[in-house]
Amino acid sequence: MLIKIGRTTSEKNRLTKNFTQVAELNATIKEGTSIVNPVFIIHAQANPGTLNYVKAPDWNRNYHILDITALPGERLALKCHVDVLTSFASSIKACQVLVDKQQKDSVSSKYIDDGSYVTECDDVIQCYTYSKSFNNSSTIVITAGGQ
Amino acid sequence: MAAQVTNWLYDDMTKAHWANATWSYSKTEDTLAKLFKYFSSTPQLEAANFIYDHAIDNNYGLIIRPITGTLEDGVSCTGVFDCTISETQDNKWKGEENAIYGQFMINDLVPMVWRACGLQVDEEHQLYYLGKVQTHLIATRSRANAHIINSAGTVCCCVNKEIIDLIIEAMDLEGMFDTHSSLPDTIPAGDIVMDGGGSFTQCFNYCVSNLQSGVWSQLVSENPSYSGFIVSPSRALSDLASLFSNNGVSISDYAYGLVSASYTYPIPGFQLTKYVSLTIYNIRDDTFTLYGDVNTNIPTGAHGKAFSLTNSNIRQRTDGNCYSGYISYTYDTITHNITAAPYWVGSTNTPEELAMYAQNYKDDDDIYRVSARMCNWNVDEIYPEGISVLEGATPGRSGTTSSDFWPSWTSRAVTLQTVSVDTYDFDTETFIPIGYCNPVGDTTQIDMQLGKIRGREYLQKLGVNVSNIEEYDPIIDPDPDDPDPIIPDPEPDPDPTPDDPDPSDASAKLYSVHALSAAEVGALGTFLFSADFISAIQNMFAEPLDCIIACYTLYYHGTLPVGANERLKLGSVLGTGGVTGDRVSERFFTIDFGSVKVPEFYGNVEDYAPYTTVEIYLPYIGFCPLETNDIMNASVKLIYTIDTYSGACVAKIYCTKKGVKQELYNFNGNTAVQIPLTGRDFTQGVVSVISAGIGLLSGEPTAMVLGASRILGSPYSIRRSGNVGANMGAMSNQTPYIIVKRPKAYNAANYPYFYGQPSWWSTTLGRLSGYTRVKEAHLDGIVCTEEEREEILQLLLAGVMV
Repeated sequence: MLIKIGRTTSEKNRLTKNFTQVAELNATIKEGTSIVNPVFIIHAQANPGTLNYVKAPDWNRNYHILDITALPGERLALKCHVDVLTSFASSIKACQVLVDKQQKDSVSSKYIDDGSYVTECDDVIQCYTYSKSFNNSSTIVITAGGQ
Repeated sequence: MAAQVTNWLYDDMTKAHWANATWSYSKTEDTLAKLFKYFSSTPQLEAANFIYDHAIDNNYGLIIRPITGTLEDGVSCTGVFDCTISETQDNKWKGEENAIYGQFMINDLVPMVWRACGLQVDEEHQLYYLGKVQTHLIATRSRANAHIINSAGTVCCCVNKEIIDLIIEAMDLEGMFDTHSSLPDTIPAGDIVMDGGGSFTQCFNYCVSNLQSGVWSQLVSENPSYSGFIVSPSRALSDLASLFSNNGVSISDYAYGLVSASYTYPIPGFQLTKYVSLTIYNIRDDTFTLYGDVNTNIPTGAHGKAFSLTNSNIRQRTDGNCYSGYISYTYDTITHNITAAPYWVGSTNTPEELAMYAQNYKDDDDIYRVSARMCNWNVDEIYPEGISVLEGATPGRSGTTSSDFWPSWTSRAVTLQTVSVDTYDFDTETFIPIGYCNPVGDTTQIDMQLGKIRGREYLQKLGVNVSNIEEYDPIIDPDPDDPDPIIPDPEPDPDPTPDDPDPSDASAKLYSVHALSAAEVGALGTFLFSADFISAIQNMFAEPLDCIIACYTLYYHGTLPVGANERLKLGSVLGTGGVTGDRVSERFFTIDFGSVKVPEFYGNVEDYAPYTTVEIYLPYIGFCPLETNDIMNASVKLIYTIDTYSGACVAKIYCTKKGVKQELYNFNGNTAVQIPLTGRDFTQGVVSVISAGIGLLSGEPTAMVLGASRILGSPYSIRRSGNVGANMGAMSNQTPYIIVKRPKAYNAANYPYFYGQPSWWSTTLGRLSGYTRVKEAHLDGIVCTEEEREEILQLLLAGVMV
């Protein structure tokens, strides 16, 4: 199967990752491995230290390289796990979701209190003073007998 | 109008294409749509939003390209963002009919700038810039091509200084703008800067000589801080006029005349306090007729008293397409045909009212712009651009005032075809055509988009009745058909305030109430202990002083409601020897202490309970807790009602929020300090004060101690004072004030980037960008294994970067 090996510097939880291709080559799938956790066996053509990502167009999937093992005959075994986010990015983007947290102000509300706001124990006190005050007094005498 | 946009650009463009220096397209519509699709589909260029105006010919496109680097999917672009206007292959720039009207929103452009430049601008700054730019960005047709940014080595044209500054600043962050060191620190609005050195004059001349007339004329038209429509006469009738009329906009209401074949669009008259000028751009060999009238009754058709035009004050601009000058104004009926020489039409007679019209008898493809504004003779007074944003002017027709003209105009939207983010079809969106205020003087901006307006205060300053104008909603609903979240917005109840007590005294026959001065108190004492008084009163009372029902000092603000000064009557005995006092005319009187506004500080939940707590100090009552959510961002009014017969007081607190005033709190106390007349009185007074203190110490507050009829819940209870009523109140602070105790926020700078902010929206992920954590997801339509589906769900629940 034709695969593209290379590297990505994107975060693992990023839906669409950047990818710098190092080589495109044929790989064999180690028997007994799955489409989710395959082991690709390739002939070493690149410095394994520069590899962390595999694209398998035939399977419509991208993979994180979990481990690289040297095999006899200058072969490498790339133990992988499917990158479900990037592999199905377009389909995921079309899915209806209920958003709990969002980075952008435009689709979030700072007036929802979900307990995530952090405050220091110290407080700031502000006083807002009215412009008027009790500024006068009179002696009141109430006597028996009206007018 | 809907047209399915092919995706050849996105699918077929290679990095070699993108690295190409110049592209040309003949169809603006397709070009913009495809470019939009490209940028909206490219991870590094997060979004683009091109707005295309069908009212003009679609021969130009807005070309966006990276100079270096690649834009292959998945590869970061490291080049400099370049946005330029490219000359089409058939050199259509030379015709104004091909003016660009494709506008991309600068707020969407900016993230592209960041990413295309490869800038390491963190999200916080990006958001800051975005917010800043958005503040000054108006979706206005007249400035459709005002934001022309070309940093590729030719010219940098932009009427908005701040946008230029932002981009320069952005580039400076990466050192990519080193070669632009010749740029001045500040770029005045409307100035044209040439990259790679040179003075403003050189740049200006460069632009004049190199830019095609279409661009130049529009730049010129944009620079003087007023705007209008640039229309193609051939399309104006079919598109623009119908577009307006379909949206309830009468062309005659528009202050800028639209010159078109066989139609006369009147320019509303102005109440003249200064000269009026009429500027006509791009006049060539066409025939114009200018009509002037001394009143604001716009005639139906080409009649009225016309201007007499002279050449004495004509000024011609350097590009040959824009002329300016003044003509004298006479009350004749001359119809002047402008042939090769256009004019500024002004009035030297400064009539009280003036209506002006312009009519073009020639039907061709040229674009004409006719605008009118108030100006000084020297034409150097810059007004906020836009229709009738003119001091001292009364726009509109006869009987129309600015207060009713503005709402009627601003409330009428026009629709524009824009590219849908989702389908790449053309959607119809609504815009309000309004001028954009250049950052001259008051930089408060008007932002009208999707029928909403930001800047009601600004409009109010202009004398606009904003009662019918919807406030701009900063929360953008990503799906107008599915508004979300659904937030119930209960209408607050009207003011439940009870009536104030009747101040009249029904017991006037039983006793008398007087307010005494110090001298009068002394006279009263002398009289009370005189032999004559005692012998006389002993016939009525066992104790002579029993005729004194109460004697106390009453504290208040301002003046007491008193009547005539009269002799005191004790029982049946009239006081003698200066025993007088001002008769208290009303039992209850009120003191309005005014209002204070308690503003938000953080603009988030931290301004509200339980983070922020609020108390109020009320003289003669004490410290009283208030519900933070009632008080925050509200105007808090305080009114005391005092019973002059007892000193009892009630402090009513009214909160005005969202335009509704409600009485929410009612605390009571006493503002009278008893004056003992006998030893028995003194003893009782001391006992009452001591008992109040004992009640406080024992934790069993008496009504007098608390002085509050409503004590609301609080997370904790800290008493700031003991009894401040009566005697102690007189020794305490006499001014009421509100105490707001806010927490110190401790949020990380990039908190939303890492953790997001509370959202609670339901939408599709594709509409979002940045960190997103979902509460639930419907993962339909994904062709994957169940194990993978479960992993997707778990990742979404944990948070992903979209």
